[in-house]
Amino acid sequence: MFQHLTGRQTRSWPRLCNSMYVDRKRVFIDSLKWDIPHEGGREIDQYDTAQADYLILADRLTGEHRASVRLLPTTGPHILGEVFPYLCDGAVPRGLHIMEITRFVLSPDVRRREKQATRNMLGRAMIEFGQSQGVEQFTAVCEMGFLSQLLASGWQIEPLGMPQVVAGSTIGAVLIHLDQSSLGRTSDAWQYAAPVLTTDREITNLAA
Amino acid sequence: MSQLADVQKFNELAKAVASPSDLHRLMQEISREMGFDHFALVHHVDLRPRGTLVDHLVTRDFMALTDYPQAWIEEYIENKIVSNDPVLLASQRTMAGFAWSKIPKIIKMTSAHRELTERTRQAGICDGFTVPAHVPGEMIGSCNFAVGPTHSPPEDNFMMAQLIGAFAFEGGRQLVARMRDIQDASPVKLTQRQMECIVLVAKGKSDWEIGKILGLSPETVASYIKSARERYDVPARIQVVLRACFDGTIPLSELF
Repeated sequence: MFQHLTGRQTRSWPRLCNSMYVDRKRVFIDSLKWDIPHEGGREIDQYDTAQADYLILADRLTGEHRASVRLLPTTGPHILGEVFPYLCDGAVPRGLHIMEITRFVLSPDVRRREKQATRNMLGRAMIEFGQSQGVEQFTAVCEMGFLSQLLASGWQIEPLGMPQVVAGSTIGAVLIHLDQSSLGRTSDAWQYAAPVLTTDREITNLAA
Repeated sequence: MSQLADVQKFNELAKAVASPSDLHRLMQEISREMGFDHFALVHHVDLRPRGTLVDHLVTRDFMALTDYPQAWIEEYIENKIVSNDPVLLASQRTMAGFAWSKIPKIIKMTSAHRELTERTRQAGICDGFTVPAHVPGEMIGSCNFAVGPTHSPPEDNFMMAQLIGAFAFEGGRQLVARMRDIQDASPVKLTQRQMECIVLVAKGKSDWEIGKILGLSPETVASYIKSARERYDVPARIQVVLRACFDGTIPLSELF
């Protein structure tokens, strides 16, 4: 099951969060070659703050990171607003009901045949979380190579501007609409049948 | 209209297409609007078993929509160029859209590739931009936009083509999925034993008689017939006979 941790709670989960930062370094820097800061084998940036929300899947045996996503409030500092505002034709979408998806990632240790199911759980965790928090739209900066995979989800997705080539990658801003029909419209390819997000109460019990 | 407004409008239309020919028409319009002469929205599949009339083919497994010159399509399919086409090879090697001029940076161009590129040019497909489509667990595909010999590709619209290509591919994927749904909803399949029992029901035999003929107990015969009824979702055995004859599961010749 996915756990929701707020930026404040990450310190109470050192093993899990540390392995998340390590996997982020392995994927975004080692494999995708993004030009972003890292230190001591971990990728942490200025948006990993108390304001961030994390949805994290821990390995049942080792307790280490398997998949995660970081969600940022668009009312405060976030990547589309501060780093890539020029990817939006109009104003950057901001609001209490809009969150930004960043660092959507699977651990490189997830086995090949489990990748798709794990990705689908992660997608479902975002929808469940968004619905529980009253999120109406997600924004995201998307690598264009990932776009056909994202569109195959069946979710309602629209571009916010023309993509651009930045440091060798073609990236673009997208808006993903979220409502009560989002789980139902998820395609077969992205389908995960059961709820995946643990409630806060269950987490408190786990931590105790 | 701005490029973004054009993409959004295309996205709405592509989501709503009712048939492969609708999507074909939509692709032609948007390709021209962006300054390309041709498009090919395809899964990377050998089309030889399908013949060469494939300008808008959508099956339960793949799509092939294109307005490339028919002579080139024929040559392409008959010579199985799909397996060695540098444009498609490059789109299997990279994730984001690319101008064809960048292909030598993506794959190692062999002399066979150079010769193919030349033949493609002579056929009127001179330059272009390709958007790869990698959907995990599915066949690789791409959306290709090409220009003929009279002008160069519209560089200012490459990023627009990147988005259009991705939305077009998803529109095509939806058509493929719908084709699968239609086919899966059709014929009910009976097992060999169920079929033998139903043929004898059609000939007016009782369970006891059918049992004697097939070497089964009457209870077993009854259970085969019951499960055949369930497959057709009908309450009476005579309805199974009619449905199985009607959909061709049991040829009428079997009954005489």
